[in-house]
Amino acid sequence: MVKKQDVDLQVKLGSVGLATPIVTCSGTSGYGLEYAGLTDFSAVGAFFTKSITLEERKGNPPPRVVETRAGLLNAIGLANVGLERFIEEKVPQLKRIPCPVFVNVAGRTIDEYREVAERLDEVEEISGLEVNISCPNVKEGGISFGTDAKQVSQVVSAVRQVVKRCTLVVKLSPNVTDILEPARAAVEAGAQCLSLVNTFTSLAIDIEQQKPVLANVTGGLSGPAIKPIALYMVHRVYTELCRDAGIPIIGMGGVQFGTDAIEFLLAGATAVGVGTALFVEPNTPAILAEELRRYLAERDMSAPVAIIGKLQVPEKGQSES
Amino acid sequence: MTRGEKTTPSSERAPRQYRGRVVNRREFSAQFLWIELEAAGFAGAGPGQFVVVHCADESDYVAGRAWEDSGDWPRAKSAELRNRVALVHRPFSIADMVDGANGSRLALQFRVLGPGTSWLAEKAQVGAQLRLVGPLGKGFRMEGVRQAVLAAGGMGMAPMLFLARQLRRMGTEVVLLAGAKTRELLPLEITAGAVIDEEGEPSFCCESFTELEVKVGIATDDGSAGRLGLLSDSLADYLSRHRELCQTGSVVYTCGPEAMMSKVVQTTQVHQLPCQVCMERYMACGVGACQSCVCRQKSERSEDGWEYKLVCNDGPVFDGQSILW
Repeated sequence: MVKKQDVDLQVKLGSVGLATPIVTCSGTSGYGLEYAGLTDFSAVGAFFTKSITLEERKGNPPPRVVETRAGLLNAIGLANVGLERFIEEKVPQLKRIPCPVFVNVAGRTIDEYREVAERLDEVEEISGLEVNISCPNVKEGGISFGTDAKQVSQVVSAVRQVVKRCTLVVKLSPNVTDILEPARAAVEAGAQCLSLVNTFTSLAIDIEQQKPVLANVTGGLSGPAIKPIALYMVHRVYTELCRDAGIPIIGMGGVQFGTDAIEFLLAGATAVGVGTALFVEPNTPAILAEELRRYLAERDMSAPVAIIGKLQVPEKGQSES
Repeated sequence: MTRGEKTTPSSERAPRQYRGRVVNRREFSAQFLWIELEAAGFAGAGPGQFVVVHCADESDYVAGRAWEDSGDWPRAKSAELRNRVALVHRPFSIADMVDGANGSRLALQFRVLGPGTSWLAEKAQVGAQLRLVGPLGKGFRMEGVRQAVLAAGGMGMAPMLFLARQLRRMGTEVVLLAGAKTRELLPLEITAGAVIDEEGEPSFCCESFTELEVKVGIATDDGSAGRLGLLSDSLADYLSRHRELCQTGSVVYTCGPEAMMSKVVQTTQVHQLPCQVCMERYMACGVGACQSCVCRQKSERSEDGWEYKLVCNDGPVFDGQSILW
């Protein structure tokens, strides 16, 4: 029998080893130290920073966030300190995070993506880059790159050429007809890993004022409301592309319970992102890691690989209906 | 950066997660509640700082708990199907901190408005446990203040008793001007039989402030209590009547709706008094991670003269002159 403490939760994303499959989602946990003292980082497999752009961005006017039923709608607008201040002010803090750090990269043009990625690839504190082609809340760049397979290919190819050291992750938008198309384009262009999924473009309405709640009108929906859709997308991309291509998936979208993390692993994810749940319980990663350990031990399994992609789907023609 | 390592450079305590037990509960009216919590180790908070509170049953949204308690595997239950459950934790000003037998007591005051506060009103009974994170944010600055005027609009009352207590402890003279749309929306317990001045002149009319030797002047938009009219007008008149305040060592502290606070700041500019403003915003994290709770401020660093500051981390208390309303 495998004892709970003997379960080894380590997984790998590209060349980066993670102590657990639980990672923080970009945009929900700041630059690094915001959750110091609240989140047990020894249970975090990798830390994903918020998006960094070439120039400093102020972001959207408030209100930037509103809660909806079982979900959270946000339109931050990639507010960030910009590449140079990030390197000067924030990177020194990253040394204090005891897990690999992935920096999320965004841009308005392909050149911007390339420039930011090239510079960050030289920073030794950074283990990986997550290319954000899926932000729904900026007018240019972001999601417009992520919803067109040709543009996905162009951005990822451009970044691929300049990234020599870091593991290259591409974060995909779910705001497409078929998630497989941008996923395939990203992998063919050199992505070593895919993050699935970013938020869903959504609208919240104030019926008293008959106006949108968010100043940006639309926002990106996260939280428990999106989990089943995210699971479906992870499973589709895993079975149709990533399983055979050997590309790990970071599954994310509404993960809050240990059961959620396990579901994502069964659907084909190698790692699982925690985002909105941090706003409910900052120590969610440690709780999930513990529950995963227990689930595996109870089934006499010693590592997550025993369940990754192991969802049992009936063969076509075998179902009763 | 495991738990226990101190990372906040300032004198303010690094935020931690606590379990608070409700030890006292007062219902001012159907709308306002005052709860006192004992949270082992919670200390070092100042007026103007806040906490975020998890305002839903733990089994609804927090992993692990139900399982640990019952021995069963945690199921998602029906939270996703329910009518409305508060998801992310909610921010509350620290309404008071009082030394008790079992360490500090932390008080929260709130108006029942949405699913989070409705849950709190129902579940925060004496003996109940609440999960909270704090102390958060940068509070009011109080050093060297000799005379203080507190201007609270509606639920902007929340940080004022704690502020008054700390200022009085430092020997500062304090008056409170409180305003609301109508008497029922005034989050104050008026002392039975107290006479409320109809011109808005402060008097000893509220027990909790009287204990601190703080007089309270009241204004309501409909005249149902105290002076008829806006709190900002009440403040303007008060400052005109008390010219002695217009010298070093006097500060106006304000919290409430932004329309009211912007007028309060204008008034203090006329009288050349510094004004500290306690802002409120929707926020998801409370610790500077999600970047939701921005407020526009003057900035020398920025080319176009302004920048967004985070209410949770840079504030919630700001210099009134720096805010772009």
